[in-house]
Amino acid sequence: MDKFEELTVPHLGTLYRQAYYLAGNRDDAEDMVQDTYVKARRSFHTLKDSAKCKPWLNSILYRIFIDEYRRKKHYVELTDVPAQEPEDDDSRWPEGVTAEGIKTALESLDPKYRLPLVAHYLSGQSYQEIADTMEIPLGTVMSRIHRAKRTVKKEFARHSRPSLGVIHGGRHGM
Amino acid sequence: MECSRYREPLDLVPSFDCCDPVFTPALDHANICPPCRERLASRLKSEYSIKLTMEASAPVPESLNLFVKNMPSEKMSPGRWMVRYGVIAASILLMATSTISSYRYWQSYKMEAAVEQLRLFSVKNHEIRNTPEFLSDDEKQVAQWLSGRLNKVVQLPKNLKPGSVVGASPSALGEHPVGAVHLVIDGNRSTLYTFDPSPFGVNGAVKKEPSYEMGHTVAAWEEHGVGYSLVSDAPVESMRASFVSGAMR
Ligand SMILES: [Zn+2]
Repeated sequence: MDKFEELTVPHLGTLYRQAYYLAGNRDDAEDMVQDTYVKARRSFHTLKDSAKCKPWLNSILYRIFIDEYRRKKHYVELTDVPAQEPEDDDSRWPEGVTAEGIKTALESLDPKYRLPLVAHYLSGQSYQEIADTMEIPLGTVMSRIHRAKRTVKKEFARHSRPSLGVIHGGRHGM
Repeated sequence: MECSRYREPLDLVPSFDCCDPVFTPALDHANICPPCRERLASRLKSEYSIKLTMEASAPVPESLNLFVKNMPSEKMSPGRWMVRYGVIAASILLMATSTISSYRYWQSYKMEAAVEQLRLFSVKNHEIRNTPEFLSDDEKQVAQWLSGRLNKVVQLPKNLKPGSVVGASPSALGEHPVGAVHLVIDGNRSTLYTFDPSPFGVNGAVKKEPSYEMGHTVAAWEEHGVGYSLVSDAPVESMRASFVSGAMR
C-alpha cells in the first residue's frame, strides 16, 4: 500500500455516500468518486498536510459535482436572496423517512443547497470546514443548510402519506 | 420574544460534531427555556436518525473499491509515466490550453482504468468458476447456447485454434452479464469472456497483449466490435499459440 492509498482509502465510504446523495444514483456517484481519485492521485504532491486529506478529497469531489452541474444543468453561484418564508414550526424530520425518500427530496433541491446539506450530514465536517472546502463564507453555508432542510422537509410533507400529518401534530408550514 | 431570536441558531446546532462557540448564546437560552430545549432535543434526535439512515443506505460498490485499490501506483517514476501514457501526455502538452484535449485525456485515462477493471473482474471470475454449465467442444454450439442464454448474439473469436473450447457459462463482469467460454490451453484451464464494450465504456480501447499478472496469463482485445478478455493458467507463449494466426487479433 503506498502513501496515497494509505491516506485516501479510509475516506472512500464518506466520499461515495456524499456522491450518491449528490448525484442521486449509483452510476454517477461511482463516476464522480473515480474522477475524484484520479484527480487526487494526479495532484497528490500538492497535499502538504496529510491531516487535511479528508477536506482536500471533499473539495475535489465538490468541485467535480459543481463542474458537472455547470456543464449539464447550469449550476449558478448566485448571491443568496434572504428567504421570505414562514417560521419553521416543526424543526423535526417526519418519522419513518426512508433513504429513498431522502434521495428524492434532495433531488428537488437546487445543487447549491443540496451540496452543503449533504456535506453537513455525511462529510463529518463542521460548518467552518464545509465553508473552507466549498470556499464560501460560513454564514452562507449555515443559511443554505437551514434553507435546504426546510425545503427538503416541505418536500417530504408534500409526498408523504396523509398519516404523516398526524406525526407532525397536524401542523403545516414546515 | 427572546425565543424567536434564537430559533435559527438553535435550528442549526449540529446533532453531531458540536459545537462552535457561535451557538453558545442560543444554547444558553435553551438551557433556561423549556420549550426551546424540547424543540432542540427532538430535532437533534430526528436528525441523527436521518444521518444514520443516509450512512447505512449507500455501501461502497465492490467495483469502486477495486478501482481505487488498483490505480496506477504513484511510485512509478515520471519516465515510466511518460512511457505508459506517452501518447496522451504528448497530446496534452501540445494542446494544454484546449479543454477538449484535457477532456480526451480524461476519457482515455478513464478508459484505461475501465479496461484494467475488466481484466480484474475476469481474473476474479476465472478463479471462482470451475465447471461449465454447458458442455461442448463445438464452437458454433457454444456460441448458440450463450446467445440463447444471454438473449443476444454471442460471437467467438475468429482465429481460436479448433479443439480448445470445452463449454460455456453465463457470467458477469461487474454488473454486466457476459458470456464465459471455457477453454483448455495446453492442458490448462482457461476462461474467455466475451462482452459488448459499450456498457463498460471501453469501445476501441480493449487491447492488452498476453502477459502474466495476478497469478494468471491475461489478455484482452476487440474483434469486430466484440470485446474479449482471456484468463488462463497456461503460460504466455501457450496462450499466443492457441490462436491460429499466432496473434490475439
Ligand atoms: Zn426559548
